[in-house]
Amino acid sequence: MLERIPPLSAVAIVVGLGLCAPARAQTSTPVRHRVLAADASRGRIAILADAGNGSPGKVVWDAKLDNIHDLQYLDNGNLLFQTSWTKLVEMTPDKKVTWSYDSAQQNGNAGKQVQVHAFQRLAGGVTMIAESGPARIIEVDRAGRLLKVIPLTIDNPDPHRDTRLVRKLQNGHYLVAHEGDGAVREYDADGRVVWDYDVPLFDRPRKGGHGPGAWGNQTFAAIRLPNGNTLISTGNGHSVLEVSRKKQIVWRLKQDDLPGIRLAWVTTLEVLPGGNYLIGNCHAGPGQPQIIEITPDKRVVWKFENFAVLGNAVSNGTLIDAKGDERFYRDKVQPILANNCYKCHGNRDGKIRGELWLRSRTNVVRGGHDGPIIDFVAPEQSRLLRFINHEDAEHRMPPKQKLPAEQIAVLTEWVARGAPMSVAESEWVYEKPTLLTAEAKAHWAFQPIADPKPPEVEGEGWCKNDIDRFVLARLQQAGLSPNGPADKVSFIRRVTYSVTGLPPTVEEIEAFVADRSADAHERLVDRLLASPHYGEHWARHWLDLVRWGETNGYERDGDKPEAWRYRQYVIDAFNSNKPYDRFVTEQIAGDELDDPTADSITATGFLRLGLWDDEPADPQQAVFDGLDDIVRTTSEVFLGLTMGCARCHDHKLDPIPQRDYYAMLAFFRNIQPYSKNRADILTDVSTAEQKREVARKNAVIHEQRAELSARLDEIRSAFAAAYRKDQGKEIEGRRLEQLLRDHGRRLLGQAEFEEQQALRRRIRRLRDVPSPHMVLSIKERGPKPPDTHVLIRGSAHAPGARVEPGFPQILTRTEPRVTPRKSSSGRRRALAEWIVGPDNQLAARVMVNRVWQFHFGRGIVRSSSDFGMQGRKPTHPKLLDWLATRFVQDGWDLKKLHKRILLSATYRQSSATNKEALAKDPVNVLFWRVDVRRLTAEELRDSILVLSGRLDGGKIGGPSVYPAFPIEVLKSQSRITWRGNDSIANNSRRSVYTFVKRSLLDPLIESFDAATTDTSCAVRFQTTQPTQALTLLNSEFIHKAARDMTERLVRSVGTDPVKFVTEALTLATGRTPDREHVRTGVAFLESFPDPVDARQALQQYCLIVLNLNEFAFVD
Amino acid sequence: MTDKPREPLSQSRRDFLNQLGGGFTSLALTGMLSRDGFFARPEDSANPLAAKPPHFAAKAKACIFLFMYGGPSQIDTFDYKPNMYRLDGKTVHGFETHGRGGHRNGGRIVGPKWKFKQCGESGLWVSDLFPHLSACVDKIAFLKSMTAISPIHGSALLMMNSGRIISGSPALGSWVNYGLGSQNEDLPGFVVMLDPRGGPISGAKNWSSGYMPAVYQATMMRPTGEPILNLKRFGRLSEAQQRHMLDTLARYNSRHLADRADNSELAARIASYELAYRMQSTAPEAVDLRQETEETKALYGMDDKRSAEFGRRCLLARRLVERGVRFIQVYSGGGHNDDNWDAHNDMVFNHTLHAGETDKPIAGLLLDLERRGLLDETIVVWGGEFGRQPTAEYAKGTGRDHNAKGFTMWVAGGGIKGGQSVGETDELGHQAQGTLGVDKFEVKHLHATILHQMGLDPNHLSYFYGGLNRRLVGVEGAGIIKQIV
Repeated sequence: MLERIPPLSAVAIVVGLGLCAPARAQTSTPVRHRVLAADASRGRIAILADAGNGSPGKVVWDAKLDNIHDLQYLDNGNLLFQTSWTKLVEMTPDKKVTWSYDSAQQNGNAGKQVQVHAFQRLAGGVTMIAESGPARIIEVDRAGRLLKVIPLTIDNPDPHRDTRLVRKLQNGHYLVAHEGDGAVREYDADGRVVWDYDVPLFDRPRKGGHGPGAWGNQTFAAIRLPNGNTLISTGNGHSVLEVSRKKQIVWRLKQDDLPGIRLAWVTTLEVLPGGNYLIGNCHAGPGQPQIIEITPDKRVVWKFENFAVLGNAVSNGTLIDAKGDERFYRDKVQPILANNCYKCHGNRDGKIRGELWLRSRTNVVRGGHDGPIIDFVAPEQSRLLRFINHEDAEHRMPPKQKLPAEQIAVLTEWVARGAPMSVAESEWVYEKPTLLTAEAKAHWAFQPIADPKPPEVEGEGWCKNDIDRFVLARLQQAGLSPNGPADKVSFIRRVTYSVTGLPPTVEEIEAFVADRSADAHERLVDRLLASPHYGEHWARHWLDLVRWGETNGYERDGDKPEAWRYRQYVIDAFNSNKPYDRFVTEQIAGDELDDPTADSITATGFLRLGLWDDEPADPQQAVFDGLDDIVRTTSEVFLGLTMGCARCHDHKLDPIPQRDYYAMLAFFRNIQPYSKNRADILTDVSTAEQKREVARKNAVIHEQRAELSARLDEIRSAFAAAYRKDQGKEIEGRRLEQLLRDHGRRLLGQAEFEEQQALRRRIRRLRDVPSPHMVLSIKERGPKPPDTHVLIRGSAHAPGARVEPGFPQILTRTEPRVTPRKSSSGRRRALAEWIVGPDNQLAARVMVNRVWQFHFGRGIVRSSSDFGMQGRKPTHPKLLDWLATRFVQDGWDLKKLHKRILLSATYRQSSATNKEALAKDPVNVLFWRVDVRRLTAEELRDSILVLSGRLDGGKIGGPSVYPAFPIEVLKSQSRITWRGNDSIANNSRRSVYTFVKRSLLDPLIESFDAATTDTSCAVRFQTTQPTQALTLLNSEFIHKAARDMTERLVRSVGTDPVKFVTEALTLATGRTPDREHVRTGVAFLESFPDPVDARQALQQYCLIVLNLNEFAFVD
Repeated sequence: MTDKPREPLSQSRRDFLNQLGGGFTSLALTGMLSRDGFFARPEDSANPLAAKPPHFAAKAKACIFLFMYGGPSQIDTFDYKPNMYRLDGKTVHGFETHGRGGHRNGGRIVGPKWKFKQCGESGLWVSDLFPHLSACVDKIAFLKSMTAISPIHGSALLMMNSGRIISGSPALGSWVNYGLGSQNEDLPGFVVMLDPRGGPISGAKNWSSGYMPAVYQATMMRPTGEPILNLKRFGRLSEAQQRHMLDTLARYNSRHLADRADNSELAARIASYELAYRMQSTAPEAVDLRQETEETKALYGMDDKRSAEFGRRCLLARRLVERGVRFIQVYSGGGHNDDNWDAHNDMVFNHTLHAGETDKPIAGLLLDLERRGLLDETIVVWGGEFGRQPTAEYAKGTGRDHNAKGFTMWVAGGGIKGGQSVGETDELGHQAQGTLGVDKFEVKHLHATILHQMGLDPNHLSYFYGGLNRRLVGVEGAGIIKQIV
């Protein structure tokens, strides 16, 4: 891996230490797959580049020619090819001819019939040329002087057919394909034939023509393999042969061996660095590929098929390999960069301009601070080219003087090739040095949690516990004093909502008001924390954080199976006061614990709640979108860090390098991605007893099925026999069912035929009993995870350096200790243990702050999921640390934390206005009072249900319900899928149980600022809009509630206006209304204009009550 | 660590708003209220929907986005490819298509199913699908080299609406709402009108305010019946009865407020009931087409059964523009398959249907806006989430698969220079050609251009969320389509 080293100077250079596989990173970054190929029918030689889909199809360079049977891409980036049967040229990419040779004229050939079908550039600028007609191989120098002549042995001389491909071997011999002779011969340096092979006709008569119907042994190419064998393309033999020294055919590719491909004239042949073969399929006609890469076991890797660009005579093709690219970079490109660009973009000791570092491919691909410089899909549009051509007014590069045209040409070519670089360069990755600065390191949230002593304060009498000492000290510093305690009715209403999300009953209020004992508050808080409604309410807070939704979003927005089990887990966890460290660990790694339980496995549903596209445009990218969701949610929820920002580049605002993001992602890299396949995402967590029970039931079913099947088989055999007798022939295997349907009644008789039908129906109905307890959960793909790479600009298609799992560098230097398990990598457990371990400054702080936030309406840190440098600073940092320290000391006990907060004098204050305090501290930074708050969407809906008498408060937990939604809302869907209806079961449960369909939220809940479902929601908006008023004035829901409330009140107090009004207001506000309130209500009832019936005014009065600010807000 | 105050105790009102939740609170309505004299406040900057000054002088005050859901075929509508007629039925290879059916290497060409002719003074080509619209080409700037990321409806719709293929980001209309506020507090600033056959795939995600508060999301309006959800008084309740009820409610709430006079949320909520009450009459008035002449209705094709429904929504869009609504999205097509422009099986059947429903209404809208002097300040956008392939999707039939590599959209009005065509596709009409951001465009370039015409700098209009300043056009920003402005 790449070492993480802190910046040494202004520039941080990360040095490869050898463990990293830079070559691997190199080949998997988008260096373009390029092919040099030629086609005489179109008179064209062309470099074809990757069209953006992994197969070469786009012309990036081309030139004209006449005839061609050989071509070469030279190390210097030039091309060597022929423009006619006699003339060879060497051409630069910008089409300057740097060398040419004409075999028709030179070295004694004038007047002779000559054709050249093969040539090869050798060391020292020497060129080998095979001349058909004169039947010789010559070697010439750059000046065309003859250096060597090797005569060839030809049985059937023909200036067009003497030779095809000729290659000089490493031992100095020449391997020659003789087309006319149908043979391959190996000549030594003196022209002696040392090995030869006659290509067989395989006992088929010759047949003329060029297409796939022809037949012959007009051999095109022969290549010597490293194992000493010879690979031969047989031309109109439609095949490739591998022949041993002893002339045995050891491998053979025949005409139709490749699926969907019919080989015609097999021409060009190349062995690629990885061992694959490149073969030419000439004269095969449209609809067939012209060049094919296959593996030695005959799998097609890619094929080039483009008749618009190259036609029916693609005789030659060569893959422009990475080595050539590397040489090109090293010899031509790098010197230009070094001389002209490194001063600002490659100087290890100096300043880097624009964050653009040209010494590693990772950085070249990533670009500078204002974006990428190379467009890999449309290279000609790359910004780099605009810079060097001085077309970009703001970036003329180099600034002083434009590069000479030939250097611009080299860089243009380099960009066209996909900016290949040499392996060594790719290791010098530059990372923005400004991230882990001293200032960042000094940020409050990255410091260890302190254990401050509660300050000494005057006026101790106000304080109930140490929380109050911290708060009071700050108030006194500011010259303010806190409010006195709220009255008891206000307090019980406030704390009951705080803990359970529901209003207290009238009886509960009366009992508390009457309780004059010293520990009345404590007993109230204890009772509330013991209520199962506590779990429901706090589960809802938690569901906000974990982007709770029960569907996948996107086009189908399909259901997540058994998602409700996760909600149940959360409700149970709060109610059973599961220690928070365990709660965290179970959600991240419940399956990797030493003692995984049904509960802990259910908890990992946390990792399954995100959006999932079942039909992604880019499947590979979609996998990383899924992992991104997990990284973002995990880091925000448990660490209060917005790591998601570092997916594409270093975090702009926080000290989180991109590498840290991927190091975090690596913890999750091995998980089985979300899928439609239930086996990937569900785990059977039923008890052994349940499993036995299921097995027992299924055994019975299997037995029944066997019995029925046996009888069915009897009938089938009887039918087969009857059929044989009737038709005089056997039934062939699979046709029995069909024949039975058509002839059964006649051949078997009515009774037996019907019995047969009944048996089949019964067997069909005998389904296995499913497990009673499946849960949405995480699974990994075995103990060994795939590599994780930094993805350049966040693209799954541009992997950069490899990373190992690691914690954010700003928080710790500890390395994760990972113990692989049988079926998983063990990485998530290492992460979970660190999050709740002593080495992490954030987990406890973040959680106590959340608890504080949900009790006071805002956290001590207001940005409760962003403790980073852009987050809000704590208003009471010492209090935060003091609470965090106690929390951990108490064994991460949430109920103790609640109790500590709820019994503090700070929480017990009234919400009354204090003019002096309001003037000095208008937004209550110092907690001089408790802020009035509006009920959340769920609290409001649940409270309306309570008042209407409809809430089913007795039932805790269970699968989700589907309340009725207005048809207008349902119609906004492309297809109505909501199962909701008016049943009591669907409409009487608390809002936390409403099925959360991401594309269709309850309009009432949504309009009152429910949490977003797509991403973690730490703080809900609190808006006031007329649509909310419209919902609570005109919706069917509110009118039903008003009607139910009216009936309930009429049943309990009758229709007497005073009693009715008094009772309605008492229910809604928790307190007995004063006379004026009652009078207002009675006046309303008495002056109600033109009532349609006796109940209408009462019902409208209930509607008023449900709309009261006093009902919707808590003091 | 010291325990010094981290926040000044005295803050400006804006600071106070900024520190709550995502940047503001329910003071939403106090501003509106103060103008009504209901609740006096010295400043009203807190109202998130209060009209805000643009970044620079705006060309357009409003935008009508005519969303051709399903993806109209470019080579059958505006992207004239004369050579394609004779290629009809021929199998071609060597170019890769990517659609619902995955990646394919060429296939059977389906030639354009309609004739094209040159129209207007500009002589731009339009197919016979649009006999009425063809008379308007001199007002229109065609963008024939649009590209999108995804060729799948769900993600592509999100892309066209919110700039990202993943849900959770605010729609273009939400950004406009956020950037400019509302000119008419009695009506929503961002309205969406759906096809009666159903919503698009992903429903409300397409007009959601994403990570911004819900106040910026679109309000669905229906052209008939109750225009906005819960706008109508329930059951047999009369206006007088409701007024009586609201008066009593206000009495209770005012008394409750008296002890909590500093609490603006309570005051805002009181005000919101008055606003809601007013909306009950202003919104129905906006959709009441009885005030329109028969001539106007006919102009929008409301006299023809085929185009009456879409015509009604186009006319409504004009009425909303007149009443200060900033952003109106009108969907042509809903639900699935041939209920929208998604012509997988039979081009002729599908596009005849949808073009037939929309041609006259859209032409009528452009003409009507123009004669009322509104076209100059109203930007009209036409297009789907992507285009269609030049090749057949199936072995038989004329249906085309999705194509995000090149397609046509058009823009008119709002300072857009009409009578021109920008960009082109290859000879098959398959892939956009040219230089990205210069003569080949992504969705963000269109978004940037719309924001720019409305006086907003697309590269500066941002919203802080999740640790980042988010922008509609993404972190890398986007230039506008210069040729058309």
